[in-house]
Amino acid sequence: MKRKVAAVMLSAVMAVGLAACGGGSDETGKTTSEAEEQPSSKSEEGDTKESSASGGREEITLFRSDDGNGAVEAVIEGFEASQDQYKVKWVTASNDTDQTRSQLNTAFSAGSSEYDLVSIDTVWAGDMAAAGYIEPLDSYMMKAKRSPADYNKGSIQAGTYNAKTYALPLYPDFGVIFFRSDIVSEEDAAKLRSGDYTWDEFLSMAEKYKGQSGTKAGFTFQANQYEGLVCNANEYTANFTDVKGGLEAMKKIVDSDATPDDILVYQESEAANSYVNGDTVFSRNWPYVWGLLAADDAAVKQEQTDVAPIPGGSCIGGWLLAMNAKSEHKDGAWAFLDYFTSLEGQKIFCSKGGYVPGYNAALDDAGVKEANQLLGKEGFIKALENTIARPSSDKYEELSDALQISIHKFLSGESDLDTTTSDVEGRLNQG
Amino acid sequence: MSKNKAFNTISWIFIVVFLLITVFPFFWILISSFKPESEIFGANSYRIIAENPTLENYRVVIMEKGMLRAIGNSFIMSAVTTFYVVVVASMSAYIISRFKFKGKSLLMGLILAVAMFPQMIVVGPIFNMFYKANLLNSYWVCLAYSTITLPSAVWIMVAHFNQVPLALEEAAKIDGCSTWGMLWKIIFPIAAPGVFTTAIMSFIAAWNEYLLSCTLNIDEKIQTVPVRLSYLKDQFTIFWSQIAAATVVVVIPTLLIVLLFQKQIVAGISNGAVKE
Repeated sequence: MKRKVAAVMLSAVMAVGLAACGGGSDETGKTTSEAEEQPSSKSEEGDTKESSASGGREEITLFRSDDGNGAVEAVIEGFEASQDQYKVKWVTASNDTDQTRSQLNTAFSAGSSEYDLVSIDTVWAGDMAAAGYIEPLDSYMMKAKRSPADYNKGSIQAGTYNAKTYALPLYPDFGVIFFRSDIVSEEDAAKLRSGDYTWDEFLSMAEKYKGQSGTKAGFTFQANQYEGLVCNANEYTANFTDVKGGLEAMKKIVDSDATPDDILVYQESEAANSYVNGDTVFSRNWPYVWGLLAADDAAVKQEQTDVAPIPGGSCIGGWLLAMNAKSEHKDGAWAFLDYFTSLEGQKIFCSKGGYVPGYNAALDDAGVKEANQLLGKEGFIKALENTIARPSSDKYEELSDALQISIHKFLSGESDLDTTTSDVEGRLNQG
Repeated sequence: MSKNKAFNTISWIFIVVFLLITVFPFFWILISSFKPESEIFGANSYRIIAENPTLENYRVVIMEKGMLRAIGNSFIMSAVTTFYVVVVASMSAYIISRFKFKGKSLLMGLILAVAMFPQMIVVGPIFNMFYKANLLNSYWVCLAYSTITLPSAVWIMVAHFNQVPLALEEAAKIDGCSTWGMLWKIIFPIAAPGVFTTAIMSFIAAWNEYLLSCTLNIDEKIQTVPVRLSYLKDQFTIFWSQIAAATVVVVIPTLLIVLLFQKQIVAGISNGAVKE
């Protein structure tokens, strides 16, 4: 009897489930096909981040993560108000960079035209351009009278492959050293801001100030075996021009008392936490840490913090915008891409989100400057002027993995300087 | 007597320590979900009760990050997958268990081989198929889910169906029952423990599935719980207290299902045990 009851209950639950699914899948199937077959018809899906523009417009789909600051929404709004031909649908990508990359690669390799514009990390352009996934933009740029010189140098380089531009910068991100201006003496601070110092001088400062005002460490940076290590190594070795000297300096800093014992597992969040909680005097990180210092519960405030450029140059990160080579709405895609990366779009985007503009002329905009106080700092501007890209390669991921392993092995003492130097140089020459 | 007592004490200590170790991570997630982000790390991180306990994480996760919709999606997809897998696996298991045909063991081997494909390899072709068939971002992902659970489901069902005595079916046949009826009216209810095991296994596998869901259903409104959880971080930071809150929210429905069906599962198992 009990068995029967159980079986009946189970099937009942399942039947309910099936009914619910049937309705759901039909509905979704319909809306998806509708959206694809008749791009001009207004979609009925209620609460996605879709434009509220009226019907009759061609729909452009943007694939980009949501930083939660309303900047992308503001740009879409501005774009839709600036013309009446196109509207934009925004599909939010994950903030997990690797996940977004694999989602994109899967879609691209299937020849999907789902996304017209995709936001890509600075190091993806080479791979994707070589595979023919993204559209070269030179002819569009020529027509619109845009020159690569209009954009941030490091970022536009990152979007260039085989002398063709494949992606335009949304915003550059670059490494800087945050330091406690309330601990570091004015003389040292001036030296740091100017960027005119060596790693040895920096290390002795870190050792000198360690322990003051309750700090437990002098310096933290990203030395875990992951992409961030390549960024840091890029900076130490001055864009891999001085591999041996850079690695030596890096090892010296790792082995010194200035860095925590577990520095070899530090990524961005560990380094940021150590600075924000007041545990370290110096910390190398991306500009986003500045925002963390504004939080009520941050132990270290923005007033106590200054920014120094990195001696070997600041490694470029950040995001670019590229066009799907299979897009069925290329004219519209370019229209939005152009708007997003132009003076007007960048002004909206950067003042809303506090980003550094990728379009140079927007750097002078009052709204952008106000939104990003870092742009008023001498050390930050110095860093921005001296940005360096990571090695460009059509097999970047492989190259980066090999470099990470090789350098991390060296830092943890498993291999010596000469072996590592020749290994790193060999791999770079191959790529 | 005293020896027995000492043994008892040691057992109890062992059990308590073991429980503490296993329960601790769950407990830690629960208390972390009430902590503000600033107390997850740093000097306050070892406090059991946060200095400034907050429900903010729950509010953000439920109201702003769309976790409720994700739970709904996950529930629908898991339930449908379970239903589909149980129905299809019952039918194929019945055929394999009761009928003689050539290449039966080869078929069983093939079914198992399908389960052994690494998901990372099949996900590309599956995406291509779904893209061409215009099934992306829909509940049709259940079909893809079933490729993971169906093979093992068939194997478990075959093992259970084999244990059902043939005599029962013969008796039913004499009473005029069709083959179809025999499956659903005789074998299926008797093999209930196996059916439940299969159902629960499929449900949990579908509930936890990440790779297919994250590749095939990118659109926010159709995302499942594990994928939605992965959105609770930004490029450089992971919002641990929000993840903890989301985990608690996500566990509740599964916990309810298990509690609800616990009696049936246990009853089914014991009924099956004394049958032979």
